[in-house]
Amino acid sequence: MIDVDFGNIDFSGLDPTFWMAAKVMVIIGLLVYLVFAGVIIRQTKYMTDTLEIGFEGVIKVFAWLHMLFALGTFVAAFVIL
Amino acid sequence: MVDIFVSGKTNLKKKKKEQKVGTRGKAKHKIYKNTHNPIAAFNYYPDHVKFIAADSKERIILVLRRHPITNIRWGVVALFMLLAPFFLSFVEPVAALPTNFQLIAFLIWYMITLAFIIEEFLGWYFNVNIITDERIFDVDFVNLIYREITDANIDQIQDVTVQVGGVLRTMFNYGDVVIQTASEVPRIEFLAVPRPDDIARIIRELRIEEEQEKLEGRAR
Repeated sequence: MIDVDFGNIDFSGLDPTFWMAAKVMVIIGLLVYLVFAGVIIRQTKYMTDTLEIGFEGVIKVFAWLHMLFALGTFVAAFVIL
Repeated sequence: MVDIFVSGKTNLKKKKKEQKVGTRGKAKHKIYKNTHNPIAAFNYYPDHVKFIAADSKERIILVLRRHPITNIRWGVVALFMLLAPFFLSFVEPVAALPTNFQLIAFLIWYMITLAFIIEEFLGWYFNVNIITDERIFDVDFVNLIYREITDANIDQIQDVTVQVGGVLRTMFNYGDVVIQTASEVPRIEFLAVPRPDDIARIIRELRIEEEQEKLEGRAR
């Protein structure tokens, strides 16, 4: 039973099944986000193929960092939740 | 008549003046020295440029982006996004979540913030206008995987209009350069670019050079 008090919300009464479902949804969402992170890498490559002017290395590094961050978050969600 | 004496200082002055003038390549525009900063918004004779639509013999004279001040809006949003977790973590219902969910929520928030910053920067960095000695280009990345490149020959340019309006644009010297052409795309716009008057001057000089080349039979 959820105690809905807008000044003081309490999730402690929730069924563990709810949290399992929440975990599944978060993991599915992160999987979709991983695809988006891959698209960013593809997009970066596409853009740097169009125009190279000297800063592309840094941009690619950040794109890959973002991908690693997404991967790390996915693994963290799997383990921690 | 043989020179009896040539002052070294005169030669030095001449050399310094030549260094100030962009004398690389056949186009000489007595405005600026070469730009060595790859993330500059006004890149005059940039170093190490490769552009997919340019010919191998085409020399890239100017690479333009929107003035950096146009990035302030998303910069402020990004700053709020970076600082938001420190304030929202005390706000219900985030504070009521179990600790593990709060941690994952933080990670997801910063992941989205990083993606936002990367996307906005890519949109600024790669949406460029390029002026070569033969053509002008407008490169637009409309969305994640759609690219549009518009080009027009310099000798097809019919009219160049510079539009600078508003307090910010006047203070920071940026505006729009609207180019009317005789090509299939009748209008190419350089939006919110720095030093629009100098850009118009460069284009004018290039048009004059193209005319001269045509007269001399050197046009490519």
